[in-house]
Amino acid sequence: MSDLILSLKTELRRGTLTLAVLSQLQEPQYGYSLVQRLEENNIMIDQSTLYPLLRRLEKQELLTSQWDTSENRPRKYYLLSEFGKEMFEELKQEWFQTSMQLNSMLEGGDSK
Amino acid sequence: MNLQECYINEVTRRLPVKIRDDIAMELRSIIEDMLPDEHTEEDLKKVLSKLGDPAKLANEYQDKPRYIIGPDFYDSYINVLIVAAIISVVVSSLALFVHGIMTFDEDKSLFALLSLVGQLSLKMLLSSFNVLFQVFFWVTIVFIVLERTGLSYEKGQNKKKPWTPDDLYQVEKVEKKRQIPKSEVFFSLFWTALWATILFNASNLIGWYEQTGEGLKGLKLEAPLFNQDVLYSYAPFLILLIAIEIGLAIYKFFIGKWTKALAVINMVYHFFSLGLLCVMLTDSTLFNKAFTLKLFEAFKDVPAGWWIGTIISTMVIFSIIDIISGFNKAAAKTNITNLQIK
Repeated sequence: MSDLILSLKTELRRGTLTLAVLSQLQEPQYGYSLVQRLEENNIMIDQSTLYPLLRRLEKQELLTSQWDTSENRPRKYYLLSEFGKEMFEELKQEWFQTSMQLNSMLEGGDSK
Repeated sequence: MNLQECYINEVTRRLPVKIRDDIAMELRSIIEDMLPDEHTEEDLKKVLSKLGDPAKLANEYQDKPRYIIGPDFYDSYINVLIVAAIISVVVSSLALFVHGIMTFDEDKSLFALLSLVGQLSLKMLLSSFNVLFQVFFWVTIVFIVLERTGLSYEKGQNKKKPWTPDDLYQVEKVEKKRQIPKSEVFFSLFWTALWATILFNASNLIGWYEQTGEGLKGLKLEAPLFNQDVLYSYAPFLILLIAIEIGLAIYKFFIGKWTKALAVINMVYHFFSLGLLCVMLTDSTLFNKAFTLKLFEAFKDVPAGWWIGTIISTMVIFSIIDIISGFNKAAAKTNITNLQIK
């Protein structure tokens, strides 16, 4: 039973993670700084999901990436591309709409 | 190698070479970011456990599907497997059965009959197992290739134009004119099994019979039709023909209706079998001298080439009829070509 609720929750959250990640990449971020920013906002994301997700988004050309080797530790920075910004805006609108509809349907359901 | 490099290696060795270095570098910086400045092995272990199982992480990095046969193909895979299994078991058992009956001695005692039945059943069972494994192996291979190359009939259809309920009318109309009855497929498989068995046992079966006693028992094979050695030298071609016939029947079974592609394949098959027939019939070494002598003795008025000519022209006529009917049926409605598997 608890397995089921876990998998249902994961499924429910899966799409929102992309939105959360995109929202934090208006400025360049490297992997770990992104994790911290998400955690500050109480978005818990499995790190083994996040890093591959970044690569997929880059492959879909929503993100661009760049290695910064100027510091003593090389870091890969990710940033929203122009295309990514457009997609983010659309996804954001979609989210607002969906959550509004769902909230009103669930009648004052949890609107965190 | 330290624990960190060990972990990175565990991830990257599961990835394509192309992206290995980049991911290794990224993982290295991620892990180091997560570690406090002065860290112990315990800290490292904590960090690595946060990243989780390297195999799982590597899977996340892989874009490739993590299945052999995906949902697009699963249904047809199972269907093909079931049907192919049934067909092949039936055909192989049939071939064994025919062979067993034909090589059965005149010995009519009950014991001999029972032992024949027992042997045959055992043979059929074993060959069925063998055949099932073969079918499973080959069908799976074919579907893996289909899956990997993305040759999906459903996908292909979607690309052309979206489905509308109107398509259903066309499907229904087409079915009637172009349908291939399943019985036809089974009959052709049966036919293949039959001629193949008879041909490969020809030295005991076909030839000049003479009545030397009473009834069936007195029928004696005086001269076989073929020289066995020469006949066997044709075996590769005959086996190829059998394979083509079986393949064609199975293909017919699955698409269930005549298409242009099927008509073309059917034509190629006929050309091949006619070609083989002509070569074999005009090969005088194939026929047993004793048989030809008996034949000419019995039918003195018939010229030598007549037999061969008659057989070939009969086969040519039947083949032409079948080829034309194939194309006709395929053309019954031509605008539904998107339903066929290319």
